[in-house]
Amino acid sequence: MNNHGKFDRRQFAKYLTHGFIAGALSRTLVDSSLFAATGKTKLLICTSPNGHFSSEATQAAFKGVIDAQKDQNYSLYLTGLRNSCYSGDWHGAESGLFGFRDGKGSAPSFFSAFSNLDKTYLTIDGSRYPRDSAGGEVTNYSKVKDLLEGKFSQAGTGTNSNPSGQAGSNSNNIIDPLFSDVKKVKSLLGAGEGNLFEDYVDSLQELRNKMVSSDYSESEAAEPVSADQCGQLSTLSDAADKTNQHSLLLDAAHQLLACNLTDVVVVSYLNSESEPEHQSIHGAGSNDGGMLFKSYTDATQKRIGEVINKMSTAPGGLLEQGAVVYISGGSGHLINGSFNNGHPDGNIPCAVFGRLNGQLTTRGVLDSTGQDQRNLWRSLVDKISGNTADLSKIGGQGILPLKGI
Amino acid sequence: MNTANFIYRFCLFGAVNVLAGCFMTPLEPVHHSKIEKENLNAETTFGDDVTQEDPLVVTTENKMEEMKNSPEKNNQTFSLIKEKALEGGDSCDNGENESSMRILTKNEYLETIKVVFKLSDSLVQIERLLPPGSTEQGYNFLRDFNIMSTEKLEAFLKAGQFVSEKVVGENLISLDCGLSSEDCFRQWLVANLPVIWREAVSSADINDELEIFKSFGSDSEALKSMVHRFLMSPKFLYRSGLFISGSETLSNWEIVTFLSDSLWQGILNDELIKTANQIEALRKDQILALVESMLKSPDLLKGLDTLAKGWMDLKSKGESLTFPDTISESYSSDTFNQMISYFLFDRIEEGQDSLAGLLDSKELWLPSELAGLYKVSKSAEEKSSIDNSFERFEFSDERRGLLSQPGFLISASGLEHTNIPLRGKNILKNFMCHDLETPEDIVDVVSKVKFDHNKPVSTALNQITLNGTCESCHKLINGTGSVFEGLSPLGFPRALDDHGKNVISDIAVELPGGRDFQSGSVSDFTHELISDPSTGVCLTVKVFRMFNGRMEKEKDACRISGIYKKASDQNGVSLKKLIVELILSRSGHIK
Repeated sequence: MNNHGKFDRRQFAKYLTHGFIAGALSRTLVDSSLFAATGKTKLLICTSPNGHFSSEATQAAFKGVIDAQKDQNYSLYLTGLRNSCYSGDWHGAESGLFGFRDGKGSAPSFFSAFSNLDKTYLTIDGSRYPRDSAGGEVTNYSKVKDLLEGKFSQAGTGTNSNPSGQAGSNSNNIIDPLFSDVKKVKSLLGAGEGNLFEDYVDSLQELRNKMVSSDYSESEAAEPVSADQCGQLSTLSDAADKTNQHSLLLDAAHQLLACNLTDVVVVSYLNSESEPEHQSIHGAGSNDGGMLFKSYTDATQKRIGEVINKMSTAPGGLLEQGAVVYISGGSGHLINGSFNNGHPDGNIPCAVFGRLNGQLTTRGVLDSTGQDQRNLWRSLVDKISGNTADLSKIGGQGILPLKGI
Repeated sequence: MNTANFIYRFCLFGAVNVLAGCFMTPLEPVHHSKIEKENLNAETTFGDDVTQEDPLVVTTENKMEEMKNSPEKNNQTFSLIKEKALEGGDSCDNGENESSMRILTKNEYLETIKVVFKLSDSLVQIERLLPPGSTEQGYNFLRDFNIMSTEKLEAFLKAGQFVSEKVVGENLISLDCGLSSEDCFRQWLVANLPVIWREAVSSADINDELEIFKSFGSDSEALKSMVHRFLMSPKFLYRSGLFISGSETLSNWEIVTFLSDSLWQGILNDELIKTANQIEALRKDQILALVESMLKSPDLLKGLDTLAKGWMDLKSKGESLTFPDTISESYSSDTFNQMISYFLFDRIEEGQDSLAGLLDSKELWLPSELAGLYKVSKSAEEKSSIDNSFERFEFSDERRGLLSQPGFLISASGLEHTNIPLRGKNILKNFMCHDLETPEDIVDVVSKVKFDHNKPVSTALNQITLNGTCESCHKLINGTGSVFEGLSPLGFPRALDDHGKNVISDIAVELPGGRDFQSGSVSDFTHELISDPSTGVCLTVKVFRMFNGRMEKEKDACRISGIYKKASDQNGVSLKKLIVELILSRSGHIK
């Protein structure tokens, strides 16, 4: 595949089946510099609540739906991994799970380190998980309809203006006058008040750097990821119940990545207090040995496994180019043969599927005892950036990569 | 009983670092451009205490530490405020006025778009593009928890692009007014730039903008870029209150904007615009007159909606609640939260907005269909809401005021069961500003505890929690929460609790500070709450947060206590007076 080939609308259009979507999405592809280069990382992160029954049960759930050959070549199951946000329990710790913090509280998600990767957040009752680079809330979509109308709708006048291009090109640069505005406001502030809106200044500077350096060209856009079937996003119809909707959002995530409409997708399924799943641990779990909880977790993992199974292993396919990370903030409940209906620590379910452009080569089961999810995030960031990323601004300094991958 | 160590800090907002570096296309080295930042540093004046070791590291760890939102910290600050509030005399030094800035809310963004560009039909689409606010302490705009990020700024960039394209595409600004395009644009700027940027705009400023417009080509593409640029400026994206050197008060635009944002969720009308544009600085009597008229407007309901959510921690609980089959309509928790806004509006309108008027009032607002279920009777003076969706009713003698409002009880309950500790904790936190740490392992503890289902819920709870390490918190929350056991998860009266036992009506209550009493009804409890000085001071703190857009600090103790005193009379603190005094304080017009 030509990573810097010219954009061909006819080629793209054949992947789409709905005229409105074609209009909106093709304009997105043309306009956004984010898709200027193919060969970028593709990352899908999937969550489930409250941990898992056991590592063996989790592996069995995935292996039950992923082709044996695919599983052998692309799957890595981590055991013994901790959740660094655990503090007596994992409730309320969702907003730090993807970050580098120790203990509960919000933290920038590790993928916020990559400001030029486009991110999309899909959720069923799990919007606490992903955070922006300041640790703030982000927009999550729980319906495909809202995703298409919100993220991809550019129902303006049909002009081909591109904010990135505006800032990056020599004409109509709207960003530079903003720095003058900053100077004017700062000149009005008193001693000691100069940092009142430094967050704006920093964000503006980063935005400008990003736009100036981006590989934007009006005639260039990424082609869909080859071999992964693209073009079905508009056919997806939102479901009424949460399990079917979860499957739908996973399919939507696959389409978003396969069609190169985004680079990072988070699909967060429920949170640690969603019912009746939560009570299946503390309530039913004290009587049924955790079987009801296991049935919920098995089903969730299988749905994730099904979408992984759809991903292509051909050169340039998603499992070659990218990775799927599955994780939960809760731990394994089966301890010494008994189901713990509280909040045990250690051994959160975690698996990575895919080769990440050849950067991930470890397969099978990896004992990660003594490490936590932050080590995994560090590894992923290093592999994506070629070990050049500076994570100090999002709290990642001093975190070592995960041993063994 | 699990006797695990309960030392645990529940930081709702931990150490967060703003990303100031630049992460380029993957697999390329990281570059940092310092040119703009160094230029800014060279040309502007900073205080001596602003470090400039690393121009790109702006949000320091110390600042992040300041932003922590721990119950213990909040309680300490409140104790100081209460101490000063209850001191006699006016010896407290208010200190210097402090400039402030916060990111505007979605509502405030959209209201400006509506009034300047008349884009009412596109608001839903624009709203989708805007970044969400982070909600803490019930408000989604507090400066402490809402920090600009690249992602947020990029969302604003996209929203601004959408608006600018719409404006030009639909010819909402005419460059064909019979003059040159530049002169046409000048006219538009004079009328509209102050409204967008909420500041007086001088001729020099207009000329500067025209120069940019000319450099962009003075055509429709240039116009689009200018609109986009205006909507990306910090002058638009931040609501500011700047005490410029030499000035003791905020500017007219800042005062009007602050009133519009706080009281009307950003609605701006011609009268407010005219007031903001007047040359002379607004006098105190003018501000008071303006506030008076704004408090009478139905648009105040929007501001009261914000206040209620922040004051009482009201929640949205999904699309519709489950009522008995006799109820034909669907009602959501948001609808019940609206009813509280109507209650507050009605209290202010009728001059019954003292603490007693709010906490001991027999009035509530309901759709008439629910009157039978909630066992309320028609109000002696019948009244309907402006949109006729609610009517005014009266409680029976046993329950009164805000704490009996269904919306508050729904927010502090499960969907199918009440929650005594949650109700108790919410009342203590929201009405007495006494926050309790959530113990480590709380769910684990609860899951292992054997509740005696043969006893009333409150008795069973007391049995388990009023001993050992649990007692220090539960002695306060159990009684407080148990007072409301006669009200279901949806807030209507019931005789049996969730264990199917008769609700206990005579409850031993202990409030923070060692005050204890027997409460025979919700009314008994609210009377005690009204007479506790913490309640009025706590309301002052809650309203301070809303009007100042930030959490209170220890250095605010004097100012807040002064506001409390000025807003109080023999009937205690009055909500309307609190609002007025806060506005005067915020704008710099302090006695």
